[in-house]
Amino acid sequence: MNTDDRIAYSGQEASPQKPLSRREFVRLLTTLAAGGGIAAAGLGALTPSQMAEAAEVITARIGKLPKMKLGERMGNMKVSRILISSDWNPALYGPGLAVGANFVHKAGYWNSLPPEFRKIPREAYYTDITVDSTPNNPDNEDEAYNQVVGSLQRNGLGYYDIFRAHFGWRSVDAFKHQTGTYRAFKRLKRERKVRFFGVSQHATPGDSNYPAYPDIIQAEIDSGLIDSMQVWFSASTTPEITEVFARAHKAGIGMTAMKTYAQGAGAMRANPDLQRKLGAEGSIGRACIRYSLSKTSPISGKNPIFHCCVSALTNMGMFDENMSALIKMA
Amino acid sequence: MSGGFSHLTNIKPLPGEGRTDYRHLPEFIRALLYELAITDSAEKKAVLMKRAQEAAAIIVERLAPVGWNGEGLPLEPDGKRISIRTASEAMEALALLWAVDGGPWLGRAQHVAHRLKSWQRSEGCWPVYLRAESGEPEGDEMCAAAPLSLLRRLDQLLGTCEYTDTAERAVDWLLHHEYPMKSRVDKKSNKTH
Repeated sequence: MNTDDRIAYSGQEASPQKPLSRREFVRLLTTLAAGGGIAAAGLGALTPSQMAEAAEVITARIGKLPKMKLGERMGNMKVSRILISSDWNPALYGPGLAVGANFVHKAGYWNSLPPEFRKIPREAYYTDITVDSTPNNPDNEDEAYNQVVGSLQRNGLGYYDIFRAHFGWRSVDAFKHQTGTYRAFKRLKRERKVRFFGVSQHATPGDSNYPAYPDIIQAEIDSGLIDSMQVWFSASTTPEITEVFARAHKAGIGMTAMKTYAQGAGAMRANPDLQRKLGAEGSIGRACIRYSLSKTSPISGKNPIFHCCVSALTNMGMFDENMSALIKMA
Repeated sequence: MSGGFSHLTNIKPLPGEGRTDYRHLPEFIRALLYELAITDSAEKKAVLMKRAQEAAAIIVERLAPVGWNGEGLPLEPDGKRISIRTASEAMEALALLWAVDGGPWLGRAQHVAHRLKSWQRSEGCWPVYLRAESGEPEGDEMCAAAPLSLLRRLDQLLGTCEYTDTAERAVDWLLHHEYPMKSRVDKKSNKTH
């Protein structure tokens, strides 16, 4: 890494961008308090103290996020419907906790416990660790085991609620026979370092050399091993794939949607009628979240398939747009 | 605005620049951000920032569409291929821009980094060129330096270790293969050397 770069781009604390004037900022706060749209134009250029003030206004307006029981296999684990992720802008952890987000995705990648989380009891929030099976080796028990143990030593979390096999498996056959990841989970569970087994399953198209969802998801459901499943779901997901996700929900698996925007923004942008129906006309991120969390099961016809979703939030404007999606939404 | 740097905003895209080819823009953005970091003039900062954001927007316009295997990575001028090397440089530039303006760039870089993680060959390198729609490697040229730089940058900016293992495999390939003097795949053994 170039040392000069590290000095020049040392993060956001010393933004070289011109901060908003007090008058501009007060105008922005008024807009935010009224819920008057995504004032993201101004929210990227805030000083740290202005950001804290804006966060306070936004979190007060949003209130607390609704929570939902994450499937039927993990006790009474009630999670916020939008998750915090370790690749969020760390400046958003505080606002995230303030609106009641209580599940941290990919917490295993934290080098140390962020200050916002040091202030609250470990039992106050849930975490998962994505245990990488890349490249191409979901059968390495020791490597999977060491990822978990090493990360706990770094961040001091004590345990993870969900051990999530990251990227999943590249074929049904691999899922059935390359069981190193699962053996690592069993070992770690005995040591009380993890509680439940999950998967973050990739798929084709969108990622090369992965099986089509209907096959791999059905195999994972049939195995009875998976407590929690994170999958790509958006407005571009086909009815056939939607149905297999509904079957996973029906089997009691905790369902998390990912790539809601990355995969769904194009389809959503091209469908103003759907945006309108979702009450998010012109607000693509908000529409994508509402779609993913409200899509009902074609099997039961009533329950939403997904209990929660992951959203990559990198600035306060996105935070406002995404979190506000849940206002008036159960 | 004083005349000293008004030329920065008055530049018109050159024929063939921007909309059809993004490959010069990562370096362009880095240079502007470096200027931005060392200049004291608020007026000049604003001009530099605007120009860097325009360049970033051009990169984002070049992304392969949803449904393609290379979705989310910028396309080469032929509209059919992706260069892992140049795409990585572009995404690192976007990540650096995010660190300065807090704009909507980081997610793009994270998406590409996530894909790099699953595309990495077991030796630690990546094919330089992929067919954007199918994701199939094209040619036998390999790379690791540009992806490595992107992965390290993201972990640095976010205080995470999401890409540490991937980056270490890339370093291993850089150190223990005869790169860049030889970066070809032996078609018989399918190994890089």
